[in-house]
Amino acid sequence: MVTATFDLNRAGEFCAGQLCWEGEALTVCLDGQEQARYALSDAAQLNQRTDIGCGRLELCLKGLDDPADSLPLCRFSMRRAEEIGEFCKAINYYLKYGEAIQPKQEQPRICQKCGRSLLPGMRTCFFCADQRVLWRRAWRMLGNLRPTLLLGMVLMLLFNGINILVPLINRWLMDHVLMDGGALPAGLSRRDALVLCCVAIALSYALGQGLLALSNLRIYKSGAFFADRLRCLIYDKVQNLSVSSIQKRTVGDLMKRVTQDTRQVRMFLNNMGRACLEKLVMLLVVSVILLATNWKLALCLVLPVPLSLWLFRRFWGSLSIFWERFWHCESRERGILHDIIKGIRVVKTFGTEEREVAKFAAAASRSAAAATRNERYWALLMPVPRLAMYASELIMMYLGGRMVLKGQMSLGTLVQFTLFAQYLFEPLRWMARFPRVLAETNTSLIKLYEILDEEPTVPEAREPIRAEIDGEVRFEGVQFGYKPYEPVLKDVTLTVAPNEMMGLVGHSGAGKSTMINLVLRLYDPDNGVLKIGGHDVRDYDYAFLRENIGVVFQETFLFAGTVFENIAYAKPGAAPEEVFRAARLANAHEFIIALPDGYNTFVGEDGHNLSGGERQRVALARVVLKDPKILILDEATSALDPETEQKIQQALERLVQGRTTIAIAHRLSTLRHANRLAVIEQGSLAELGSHRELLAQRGIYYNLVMAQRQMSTK
Amino acid sequence: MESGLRMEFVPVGACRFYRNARGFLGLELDGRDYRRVSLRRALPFTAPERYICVADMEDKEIAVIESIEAFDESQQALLREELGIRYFYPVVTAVKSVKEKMGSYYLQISVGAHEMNIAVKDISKNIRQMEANRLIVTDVDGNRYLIPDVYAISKKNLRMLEPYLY
Repeated sequence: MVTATFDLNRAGEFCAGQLCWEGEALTVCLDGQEQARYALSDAAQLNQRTDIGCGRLELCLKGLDDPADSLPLCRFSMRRAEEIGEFCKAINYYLKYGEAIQPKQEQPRICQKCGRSLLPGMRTCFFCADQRVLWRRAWRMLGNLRPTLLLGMVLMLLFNGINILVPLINRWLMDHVLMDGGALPAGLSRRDALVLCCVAIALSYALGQGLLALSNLRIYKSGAFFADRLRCLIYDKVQNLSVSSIQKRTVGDLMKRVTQDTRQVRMFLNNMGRACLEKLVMLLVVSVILLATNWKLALCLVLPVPLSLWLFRRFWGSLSIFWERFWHCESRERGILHDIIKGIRVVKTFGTEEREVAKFAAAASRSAAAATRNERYWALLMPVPRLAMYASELIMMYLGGRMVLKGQMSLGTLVQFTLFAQYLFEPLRWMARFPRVLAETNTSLIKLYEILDEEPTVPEAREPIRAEIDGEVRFEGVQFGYKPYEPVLKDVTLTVAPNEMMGLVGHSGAGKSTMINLVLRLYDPDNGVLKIGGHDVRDYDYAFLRENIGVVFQETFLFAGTVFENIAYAKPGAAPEEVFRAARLANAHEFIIALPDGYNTFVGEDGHNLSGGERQRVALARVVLKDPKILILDEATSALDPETEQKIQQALERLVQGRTTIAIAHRLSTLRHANRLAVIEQGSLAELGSHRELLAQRGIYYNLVMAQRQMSTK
Repeated sequence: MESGLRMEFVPVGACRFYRNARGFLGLELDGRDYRRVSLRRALPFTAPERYICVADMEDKEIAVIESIEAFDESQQALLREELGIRYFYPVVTAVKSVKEKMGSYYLQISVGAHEMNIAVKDISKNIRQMEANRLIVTDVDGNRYLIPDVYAISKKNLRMLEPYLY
């Protein structure tokens, strides 16, 4: 039995509904009760329609093609769209081929624990991730860096221990050496004792700093190496992920994960992780010493501090809202400025400068107001915890002073208290900040693990083959959609013979580029098989397959480097003659040789500006050098002037010799050398044949050609 | 001039909407019977009841309605119902909490008796303030939620949303 959940009733209220498919029966249940039952033997297909913020599922009966006669099955919110899309696809496959397939389990993107929505492409809820697991895993990944890190930590503890010695020596100095009537060990003069104390303090400082330096070295080293290791792991993973999982995330997001998230982890190890241990130990030891020395005084020192910290954290919530608002006002202001500057020509031609200035001024004054409000609260709030600390110090001074005057406590003890107070406040102040940093590091770790754990959606075959590819490309009943509820290719069966040039024609969005994405195995078909050289593409060794396919896109990407390097990218270590020959074949040699730096011209983002046609020819040369069995031209010659286009056409004609070529072009004249043309219409193959045959058919292709002719004669 | 370039509103008297046997919206216009049509708002946020395009199931425009209010009551009800099916904006009755985590926002909201959690990414784009106090929130799955009047839900809720309003 296959089920899917829907969550809206007909009136658009949330409900708990379920679709069940078992054998030939499709039932619709609402709140556990069967509402309707349909026999699949009467059904032609299921149609999923997407409205705005919701969708619906309809059943199209046999012989009733008009959508007005469909049976409405259910409505659902977009949260269920993917799940229902998979369900719909499985049933349609069954209706078409009579074979029951298990739909892909599309879990609704909801955290199983807390019910919060998950972001697309994420499987872990930021709120619910088990933090211990996170850190245990990080600990394992540290591997051989662990001893270094531990040594650093131990040295850090020693440094702290020595630090604590200083106030204790101070106290002894005060009570036994400087005060009248202090009891000195026998045989020691006061002067000697003073010198001894100073030397001891100096020594402990020196030793402490030495230990600190050693410990820092160890910890920084392990932090840096760990971050480096993480970064390499992530980068490696990103390179190996399939396009679909990369496209789920933006380039910015991936870059952020590789650089920023690893940096966050390193920073934590370097600063916070170390400090955390240090401060905690310090807090504990100092508190114990203080309480043991004089618990009353210790309490009045310690108590007000958490109180003020608590206050501060309470206000932090509302404070952050002000910050947030300020941040938005500012980013809006920046956005307006960005718009005006980028669109300055439009602004000038429409003469709307004044209106734009007014718009900007309004945004600017809003953000100024937000900033003022912000600062006011900040200024009023900031002194609170500080005052509390000063107050507790003052109270301690007063009470301690009274005790000294009454002779209940020695002066040295008071001095020790004031010194330790500093030791105490620092960790406390720091503790207020710590949870935030810990949370940030946790999220960084989650994001890193997400990438590391990603299963490629285009998995490599278990025993990949590297068989000779003869160049035949065959689509057999291929169905595919980027989203389960939006099929792009509905049912494509098409064979491209070896060394044939096949042109793909059709309206934009018909599915031509998608077919090419499948040939390149950037995605795998949902149903049906794509065969290259008689083997399923999924059986091929990934790299081997790509080696045998060359692509020329409309947009040409050149890497930062020289022209030579860019051409030789396809074949590292290619001899100059080979590169020159490839460039000549691609009609690129002429213009390259005319450049002042010839093949050594630096191109890429900041390099020499090649024109679109020139870049295109460099890219062509790259493909020539690759010498692939299968060549794919995706709008390779659009957006070029006629003369350049002719040069590239010429190069292409040479290039397609002895290769299977699949070409997409909107300008039909560029496909005149194609052996056959396939017209793709709404995800299916509509017409197939040579240019002449298709014209004679007077179908879609004929209309396209006529429309273009009209355009060019006008 | 080509007919497609003219922008003419269909006369109220010339068309009659009805529900067909399957419950879909149909339209009789100029003696022709369109058995199933779909409605599209030209200005869904700023003028939800005006400038409604009527299209057939092949997405071809049949007519444009200037204003729903010009129709008689039963036709109005029919049109509103159909628009309500196509444009699904659950009305948020309370915002329980707003939390930020790594640049995305997690809102706990009530839609009538139904409580739910939604995640909103890129809030400057996905929390849109319409005229005055109306907000439309789009979550990561593509659902939209309507807050008809931010100032009508309690002050505490407002404070949580305030930073995101311009």
